[in-house]
Amino acid sequence: MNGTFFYSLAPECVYVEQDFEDHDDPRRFKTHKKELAKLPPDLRSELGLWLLDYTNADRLEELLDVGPPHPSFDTWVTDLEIGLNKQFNTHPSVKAIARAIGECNVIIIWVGEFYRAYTREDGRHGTSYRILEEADEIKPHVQALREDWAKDYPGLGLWHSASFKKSISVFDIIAVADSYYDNRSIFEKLKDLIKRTDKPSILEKAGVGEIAKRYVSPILRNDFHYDYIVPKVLGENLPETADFKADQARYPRAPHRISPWLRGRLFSKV
Amino acid sequence: MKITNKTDTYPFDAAELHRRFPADIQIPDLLLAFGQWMKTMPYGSIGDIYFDTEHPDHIAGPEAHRQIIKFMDGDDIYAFFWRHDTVGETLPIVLIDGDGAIETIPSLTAFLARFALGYYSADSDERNFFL
Repeated sequence: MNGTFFYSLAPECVYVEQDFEDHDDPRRFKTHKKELAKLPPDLRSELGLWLLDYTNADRLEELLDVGPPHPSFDTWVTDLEIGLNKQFNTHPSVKAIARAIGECNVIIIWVGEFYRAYTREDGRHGTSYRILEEADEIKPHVQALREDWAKDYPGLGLWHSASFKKSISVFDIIAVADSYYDNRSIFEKLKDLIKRTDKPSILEKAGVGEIAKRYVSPILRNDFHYDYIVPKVLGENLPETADFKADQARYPRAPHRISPWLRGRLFSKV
Repeated sequence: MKITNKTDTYPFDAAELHRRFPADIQIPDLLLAFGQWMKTMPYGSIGDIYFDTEHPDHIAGPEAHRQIIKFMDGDDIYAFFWRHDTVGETLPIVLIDGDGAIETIPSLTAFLARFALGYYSADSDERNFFL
């Protein structure tokens, strides 16, 4: 294996040996070598031979840049992000939701007829959830936002949970910025994200007030979730299979978007 | 992906791959052939990677569900097709490593050639995905 091994495939004892044991101990080293010998051989050269045969190429080096030129992924994902947030922030329901929830962190779970709105509280002894007092007040606005989103993105279906958070801190901004996978530096990500925040005071402290003034959003949007319904919050109180089926009937989710667990629910006879 | 013994081979489910591709995108023949080939190889022998089509919503948001098509995951590699337009038939590949660094490669052919040539270390301890 040319001196390399698949570290993550190594048995647990190898991890222990690597991390904590004396490597000069001959007995330990012998055990270590035995474990490494069990690992599979490096057959990437076999992959190369197979690829040459498949493509009829003479050398792998000829294939390294095969394909048409493509645009910058960073630019594409940044433009997409800014466009999505602009779309969200200009939706007529967003300001109404923001007005109603105040500074609360809100989690919505909505599947079919099952609707719950919780507020999240982070305390010294952990995170707790309680029913949001304004749950009924925001329901029609959340419904409009949820259904309009499904109309705008055919095949995506209705989201099953979402979170809204109006108050933001520098730590929140950094966490959100850091969650985007592209090659922008964290500073560039922050700058792009700040274009859509509504807390000039925080941003001015960071020396980016001018950018903040261009922002129009009353809410820092957290992602909509299509694959889980926050079971930690709901406990035993979960939507019924009929609720998932009802959502699917109204705004069908494309087959490629249906995860195995949801497929089990949607196509069950119960 | 837990390996139980040395004789395990890479799993590959062509039907599931078909199901998890958007209907308006044809699965590249090379991807299917590669999957069938991998299925004959000892697990781990070309790296700690496996076919995976879970929704990569954290990349560009779920709204991009017809443009970001994940097909591979692994200990230190994560690869998806990126449909940036509706014209091209050859989709570029975007790779993300464990530290979030990104590389865009013009085609699946180029990606596999790079993989075979050792551009991406199979030794995750070294963490040198991008050399």
